Amino acid sequence: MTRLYRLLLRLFPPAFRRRYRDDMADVFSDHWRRARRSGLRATAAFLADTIADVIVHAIALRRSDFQTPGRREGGVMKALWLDGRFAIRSFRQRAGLTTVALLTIALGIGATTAIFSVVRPLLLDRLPFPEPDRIVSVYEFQTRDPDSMTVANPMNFDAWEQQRDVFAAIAGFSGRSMTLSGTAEARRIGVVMTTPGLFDVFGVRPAVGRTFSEAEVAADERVVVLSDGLWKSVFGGDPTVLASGIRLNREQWRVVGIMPPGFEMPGSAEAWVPLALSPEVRSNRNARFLQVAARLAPGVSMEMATTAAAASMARLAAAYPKFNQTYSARAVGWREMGVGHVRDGLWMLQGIAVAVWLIACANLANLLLALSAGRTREFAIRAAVGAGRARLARQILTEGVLLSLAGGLAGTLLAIWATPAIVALAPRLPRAEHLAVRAPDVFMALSMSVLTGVVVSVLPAIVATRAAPRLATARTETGSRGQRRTRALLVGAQVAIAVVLLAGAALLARSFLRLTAQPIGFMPGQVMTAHISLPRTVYDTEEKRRQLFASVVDELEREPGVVSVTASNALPFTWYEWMEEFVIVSRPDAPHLTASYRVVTPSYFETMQVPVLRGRGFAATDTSAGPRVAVVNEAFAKRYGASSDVSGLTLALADDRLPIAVVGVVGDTRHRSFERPPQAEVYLPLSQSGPGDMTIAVRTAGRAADAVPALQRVLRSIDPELPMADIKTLQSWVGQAVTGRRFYLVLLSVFAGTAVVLSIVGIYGVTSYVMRLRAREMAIRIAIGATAQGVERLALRQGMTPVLLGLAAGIGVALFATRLLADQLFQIQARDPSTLIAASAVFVLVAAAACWMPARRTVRAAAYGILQGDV
Amino acid sequence: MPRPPANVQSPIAFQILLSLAAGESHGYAITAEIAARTDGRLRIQPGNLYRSLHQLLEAGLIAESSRRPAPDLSDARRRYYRITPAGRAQLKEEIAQLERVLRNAKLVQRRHLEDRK
Repeated sequence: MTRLYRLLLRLFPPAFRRRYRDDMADVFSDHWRRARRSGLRATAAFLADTIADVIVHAIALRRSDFQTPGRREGGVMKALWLDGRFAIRSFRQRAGLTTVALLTIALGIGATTAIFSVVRPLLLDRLPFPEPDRIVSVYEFQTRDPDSMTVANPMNFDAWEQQRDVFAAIAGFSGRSMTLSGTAEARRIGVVMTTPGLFDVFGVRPAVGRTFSEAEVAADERVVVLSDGLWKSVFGGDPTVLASGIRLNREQWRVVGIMPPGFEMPGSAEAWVPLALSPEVRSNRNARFLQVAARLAPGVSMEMATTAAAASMARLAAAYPKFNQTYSARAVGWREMGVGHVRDGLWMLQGIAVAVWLIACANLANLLLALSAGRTREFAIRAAVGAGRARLARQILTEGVLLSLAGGLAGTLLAIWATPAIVALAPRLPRAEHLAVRAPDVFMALSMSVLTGVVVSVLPAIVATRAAPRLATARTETGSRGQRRTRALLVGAQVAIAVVLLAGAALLARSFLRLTAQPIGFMPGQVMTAHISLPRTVYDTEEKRRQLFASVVDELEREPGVVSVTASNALPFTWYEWMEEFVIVSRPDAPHLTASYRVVTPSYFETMQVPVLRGRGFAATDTSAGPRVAVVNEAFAKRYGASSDVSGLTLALADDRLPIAVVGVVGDTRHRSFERPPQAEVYLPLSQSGPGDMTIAVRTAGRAADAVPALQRVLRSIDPELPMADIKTLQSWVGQAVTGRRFYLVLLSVFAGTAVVLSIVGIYGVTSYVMRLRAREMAIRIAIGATAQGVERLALRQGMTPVLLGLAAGIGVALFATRLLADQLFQIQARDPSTLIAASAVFVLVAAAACWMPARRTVRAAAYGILQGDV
Repeated sequence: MPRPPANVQSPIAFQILLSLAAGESHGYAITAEIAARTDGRLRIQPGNLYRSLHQLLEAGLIAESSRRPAPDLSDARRRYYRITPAGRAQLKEEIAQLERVLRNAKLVQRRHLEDRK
């Protein structure tokens, strides 16, 4: 809180601030401690007082800064000062209304600012590199699935690197983490292994020293370039580190350069080391492991680059018949690569936040309009004693701007708090750890506040100044018919926007529920997973690899609390996937089939709880010496019309054509996402296949996390050098598959909720204000024979008319606007009528309550007033 | 001696002078002392406090104290203020002024009561 206070203190003139800042923060924190002890109400009052205190005295001090000796006293600043003081006094008199107004603006501006602080750096700011539009990412994809995306083969990279007329600079890289020791305490740092071109791709020179040379890379020397962040945080910005070097993974490395602040490309790199691609590696046609960044040569477009990259792959495919057959390549803009998956969604959220702000504006305009109608008499008197129209209008404008500036400040604080929460909830965002409310966002928030203040004050100012001279003696304070119409219009507009957002949120919520109710075919609860990747230098034969995984599974099964254990080359939802081409030996006429290739240990179906539908699963008797067997899933069986009987079916890998007998059919599982229907899968026992890296899955009797110590202990006992990665519960892998949807659902729900609350508050506020002013009329109506119920119905009807009109308009807009959500919907139509009806019904009920409560209270009071003769 | 500008005669400024007349002190202690003396009716917010202190400093009615209590007694970061002779004179003058106002008011009140009789 004291930190926020210090932020507020920026309003003071710099000289004053420098001198007293610390002392003021001190006093504040002492007051704050005391205020917090004395209850919520006192705390809120204290905070409001504090904000007012800072604003008033900051303005006063800045004003006295302006007044150089000899300059005319009075003038505009003086008048503004008077207006401001008067405004604050008038707010104090209407504390309730002022609080509602402040909260309204704070929510509207807070929502907009929070989203803007994410949208601006990701989508608006230019990347901080020369000609950022020419920086691209080049990746490979599988031709049968154009949406797929994979890292590049080194031979393909080598070919691209030759295309100097297409790529002015190009770099292949791969991220890893290394242990930095020899400092105060050892820590893991994010290191990028890269070919030397990376720095040319981004066009950034080191701040100190140099980057590595071609010769150093070719010789695979131990040289490293540090990021400014690492240099400052670990080495305190000490330049002698260039001479002394650093220790990485227990080896001595020479520091050749330090990059300028903020450079962390390609992601969150803390250091860069050479990636040596030897001639042998460059001719390796079996591995794909390079991420590729490039700078387009002058005059080369994105399409030309894509064509050139794909063409060179096709040439290699022609030269080597088993290479690149199902792959091609694509170049995509660097920014697009990082944010393409969230761009539309973020813009949608920004639009929605602006809609919330518009509701806030309408709300505020209405409150001020009601207020100025109620103050007709005050304005009339002030006009009578000599205030000009301009003076009155300026007074109202000052009030509006002051109010919305205070609300905007509160909104900015809200955004500062909300932005990290939004980022944490969002699907993977580039430079996520740097996203926060920054100076340009605050500037935008404050500009919006001023704009809000002006916009919402215009109507009341016109109304007041026009009415003032005429109404000096009028008794009515409920406003003219024109004013009532404006008020109704503003209420209607708020309702319309709120209904659209509510309908959108309801659609997303229903989609989310339907999607997560999809059967995934296995039970992810109580399962811990860990990925083990084997160094091929040590585990150089299939037999050694098989042996290792078999013994890890065996040992783990003996641990207490473990129900069953399995290992697989591709557990569902873990982003690992293997595809192979199969032929059906028993049916030579059937076409080849590309199916998922799953290597598993015998207990797989038991551990994942995938049901065996026909035949059998694997058993310990399926040894490497025994007959080759496979289990297929139902999707595979259906594809071959063998749903009833698969016992006669014999498969083979298209590669080696060795026959494999199908011995059973298991239930379908979803592998990549809830959306994608199950694909054909073939399971093979570990004992009969050549495994690569595997993921271990442990089903526990208690919590999944209980298995972690056992996993670590067992692995250490078998091979202490083996690293485990991605130690996560299977449930969290499954949860990750819906991160994006959850993000939009939560934010849209929060915004829709805010919109509904704001418009309800607006309806309630305006109705109760108008009813209070109409108390006399109500009393007269009752006095001349109307029943209390009749009068309540009248008030309700008048209050609800604009709500219902707004609702109708909102439904009309929603029918079109919800189409923007079509991508995010699942098994539900954007125009789903039941959702719209439910959303509207909820809204009508709440709005009716908001109208009826103040009406009822006023009518009761009016009826009582008659008895007292107090009309 | 030129009259100090009007804004150092505000009630807050008066209270601050009154507080410092008893001895030198720092910002928070001043607010605490004033709050205690007025039964919590007057709690001065930091913006108001430091603006007033700033103005009193400029008017030469108070000065920053160069002395500090022993470091273990108080936080060395805090600025301490003391009243100047000009400040004392101003305070005395204001108290006299207030007394005149009060005497005058009582006189009017008494006359008013007598008229009623």
